Amino acid sequence: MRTFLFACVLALGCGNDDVHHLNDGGGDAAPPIDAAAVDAPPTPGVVTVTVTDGGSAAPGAVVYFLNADNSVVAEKMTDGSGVASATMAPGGSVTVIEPAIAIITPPPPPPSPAPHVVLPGGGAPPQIDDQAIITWVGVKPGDDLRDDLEPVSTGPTDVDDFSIVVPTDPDPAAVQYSLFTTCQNESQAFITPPVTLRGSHPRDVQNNPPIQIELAGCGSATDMVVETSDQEGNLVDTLFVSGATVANDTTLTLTGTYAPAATETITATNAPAEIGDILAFELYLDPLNPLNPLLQVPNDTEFELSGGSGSGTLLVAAAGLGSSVTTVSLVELLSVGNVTDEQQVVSWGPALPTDVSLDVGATHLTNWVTSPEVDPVDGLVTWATTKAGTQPDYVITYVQDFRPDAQSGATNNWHWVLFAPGSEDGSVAFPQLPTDVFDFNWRDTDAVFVGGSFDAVGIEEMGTIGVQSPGGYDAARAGLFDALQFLTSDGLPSFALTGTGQIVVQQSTEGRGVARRPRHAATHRTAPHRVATRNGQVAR
Amino acid sequence: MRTLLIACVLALGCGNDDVHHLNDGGGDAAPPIDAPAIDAAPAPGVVTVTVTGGGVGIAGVVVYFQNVDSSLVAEVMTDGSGVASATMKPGGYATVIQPGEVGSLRAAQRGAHPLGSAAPIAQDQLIFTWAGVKPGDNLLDDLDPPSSVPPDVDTFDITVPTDPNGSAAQYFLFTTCAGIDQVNITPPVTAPPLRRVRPDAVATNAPVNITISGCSGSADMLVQSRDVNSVPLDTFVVTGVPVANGSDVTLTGTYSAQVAVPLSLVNVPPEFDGANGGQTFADARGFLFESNNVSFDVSTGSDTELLPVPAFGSGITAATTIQLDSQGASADEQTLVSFGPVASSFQLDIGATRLANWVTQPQVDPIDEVLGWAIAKAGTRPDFLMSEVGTSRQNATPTADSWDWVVFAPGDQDGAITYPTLPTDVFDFAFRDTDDTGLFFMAGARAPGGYDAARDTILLTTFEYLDEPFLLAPAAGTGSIDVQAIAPRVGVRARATRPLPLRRTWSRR
Repeated sequence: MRTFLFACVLALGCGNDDVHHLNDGGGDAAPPIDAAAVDAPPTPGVVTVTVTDGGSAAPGAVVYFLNADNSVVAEKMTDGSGVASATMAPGGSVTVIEPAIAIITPPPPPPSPAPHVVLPGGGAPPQIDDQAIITWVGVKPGDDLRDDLEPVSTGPTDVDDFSIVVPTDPDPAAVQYSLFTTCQNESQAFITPPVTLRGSHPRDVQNNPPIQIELAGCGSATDMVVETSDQEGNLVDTLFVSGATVANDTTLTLTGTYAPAATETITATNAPAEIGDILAFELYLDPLNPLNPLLQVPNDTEFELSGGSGSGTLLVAAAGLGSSVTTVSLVELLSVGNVTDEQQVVSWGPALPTDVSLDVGATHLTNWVTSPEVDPVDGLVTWATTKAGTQPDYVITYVQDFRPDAQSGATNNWHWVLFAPGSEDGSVAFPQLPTDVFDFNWRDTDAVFVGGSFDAVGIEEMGTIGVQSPGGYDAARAGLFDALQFLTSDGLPSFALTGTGQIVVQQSTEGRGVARRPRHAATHRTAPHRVATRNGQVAR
Repeated sequence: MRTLLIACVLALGCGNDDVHHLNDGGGDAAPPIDAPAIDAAPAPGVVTVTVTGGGVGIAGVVVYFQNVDSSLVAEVMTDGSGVASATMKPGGYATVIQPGEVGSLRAAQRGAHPLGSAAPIAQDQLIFTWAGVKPGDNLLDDLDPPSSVPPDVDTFDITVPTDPNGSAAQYFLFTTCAGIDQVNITPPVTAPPLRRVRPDAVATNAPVNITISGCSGSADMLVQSRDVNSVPLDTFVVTGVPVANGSDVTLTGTYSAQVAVPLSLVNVPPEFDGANGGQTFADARGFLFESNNVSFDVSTGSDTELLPVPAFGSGITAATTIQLDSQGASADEQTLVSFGPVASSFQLDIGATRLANWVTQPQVDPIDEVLGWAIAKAGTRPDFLMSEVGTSRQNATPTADSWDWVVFAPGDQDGAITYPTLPTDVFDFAFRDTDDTGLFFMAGARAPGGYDAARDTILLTTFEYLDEPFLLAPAAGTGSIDVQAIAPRVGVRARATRPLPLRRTWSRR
């Protein structure tokens, strides 16, 4: 459960360029009188990494702090708080060897002048299996980079088994009822009443019959949406209830008036020829659980562009979801031909409902026209980009390496995630790491390629990603590891967005992210919601 | 067939750098007195392209001559002899829009649509580009060249000595005739018993009637005996055997056991995890014999294996072919051919010989019109490169335009072949990011004389470089031909809108 972490991703970075208060005890000394500020070298400052595991500090993880030219600034181990830091000039890199082989507990005292890494097996070359390496390139003084090996779930954990009564939707088209909530864990339920013997739902009554459901992590107050849909699954109406109280072995009766779905028009204009189709859908965030969408509309719209323009309509939840709900519009730009990336424009704001008009030409990122490939000789991941479009603020790439061990016959393997500024779009240089722990630097005799699964953070497949987000790389850098699941998912399962804003994410179609997409199965939500019934069976 | 091809290849390219006698009528004027020769611009000269089909000139084929910056030198149509030429500086491009649907359509439209007019639709169009051309080049384009095999077909009885080796059960004939590889000359089991003319005479097999072709009146012949399991036993060679239709041939000679030649590979870099090798033998009359292969264990960086081959005398050139399998990130396979007089042993320093490995898959960058890949630092660069890229472009109709573009480029483009930006009067062949493109093959080669020697006939010999580079070894002298080639990953063109052909796009001879 990484969902809670992304709240910080977009909020961070403020003041990251201001290193004074974070500087290594140097204070704010005035510069020398004869120092030409314009030519002054970048001011070094403290860069910190905090490594946690399940929310607890992970001591003993090896961290390399390197200058941009790969010279070693410091090799540290995380302390008892999971923290390692070094004073370095901006533009270098920080690499965490996640503690599969490098962790030592308890951590040794701060080494001087260089740490001594005790290898398992009495100093024999370690066998590397599914080792994770995380690198941030282009770090700046003041950064406090976070690497949570396996985030722990937070929030309420209560499990409530109760009956729920919802009003009967007077619209005769409404034949299916679904409940969406701000509960942390089990947040949705299928609450369509059983078909009567006469083959229809009881419409002559005010309320549907009680349905027994089970929800978890609801806390003291829960916002709820009852969504009704027609026989084909199209949205009909929604009923929003704020601050409901859920308790075990009780009956919760929701009241209110259903609001009819509205038709929203998605218009794309000025699209370059590289974009052939548009796929759009919408979801809603509630402040009670801002990291997990309260509701995603059951339908999406996909339309073909002609002459760079096109439009489609979407049935969306209209007024009635509450003024505090944030609407998120997701528009996927589906590419053609040699274009190897696909992009998603995520726009959010408070308005409900609002037609979406997207100037694709002004919004899209420079497309990628070759697949990212590892050049193990020069330590690069490279790809070709188009000239039109905007460069991403930062890029993320994931490389797997398999190296046979001649002595043991085993194969060492590790995966390396690297965050880099957008200036490296098209050619990301991996740092040349020290080899005291293991020689992780690629060789042309390795089987090394872009893309793979990152199971520890729930990512089935990720490759190379480019992102443009508010505040750019400076704002995002510290929390990027936490955001990986969000960024690799085309369904955006977890994020927190407030106010109004926009993120553009591009992913290579080879090794494209396949993170879980809980409420937006494939491109159409064909699978009905699940409900845990009282007898433990799963109804559909 | 092979003999003439080799002769053609090796005879070309000589003097390609000497442009004086080919210059465009300029004669050998002395340079201006104040012109520092070292700074003089490269002298322009005539570059010729000859497009033929079955050896017959094809008229009306569009040929673009472009400078290295793609600026157009001339757009010329081939004349009645299939020839187009232009005076240009060294280093530019010559591109043939191969006769086909577009080419023929363009030719047909010549009167009604002068150059620069209508752009017809391309369907399976072939384009050939030579990069880095030089004055004096005569670039040959013939997808169906006339057979180099002499038309003679000879049927005759052949009698060979019986191998005294008691295990000999089968006999095979190898010749330098261009039209055959080997002929089974084992007498039928119903043949008469062996004859002995005199008590001390050599026994001979019963005559066997065979038909062979391409001998041009005489041939060198090798007879090989094999046991019942087809394991080669003994051989003897007879040179200069007259061959004529209906004229019986009786070969005499003494069988010799095969010799075991130690083939040693040393200094094998870890990029290669396997190797196999064999030898072929040729003389002035042509290609005579090909051995079996042996496999090497290169895990320790060196290995020696014994290769059984016939015991050849002088006058025979042996070509030793080592095929290297790469591992890890190395994407290319390499074939190293060393040729020279027959020797009792062979050793090859792989580390000193191999070409620089390719460590990424070549990909088309449709923005910069470049076919790019990454190369290792160890090893040497090839002299020249050969590539074919297929492109499919959706048009306004339900069909797609499609073409395959073959580019030959000098070795200094190893890692990045820059495609010329062609004029668009015939069709806009420049890659677009909205196209589907895919690599059909990519190869680099190092050969005697380099790109200059290979360029004129490279289109005719591409598949020899790719498949059987030993066929390009000359019948005399010492040297090497080294080739690296890559086969695209499965699925590299999975997004293509038209199916990939499973064969190469132009016919083999």
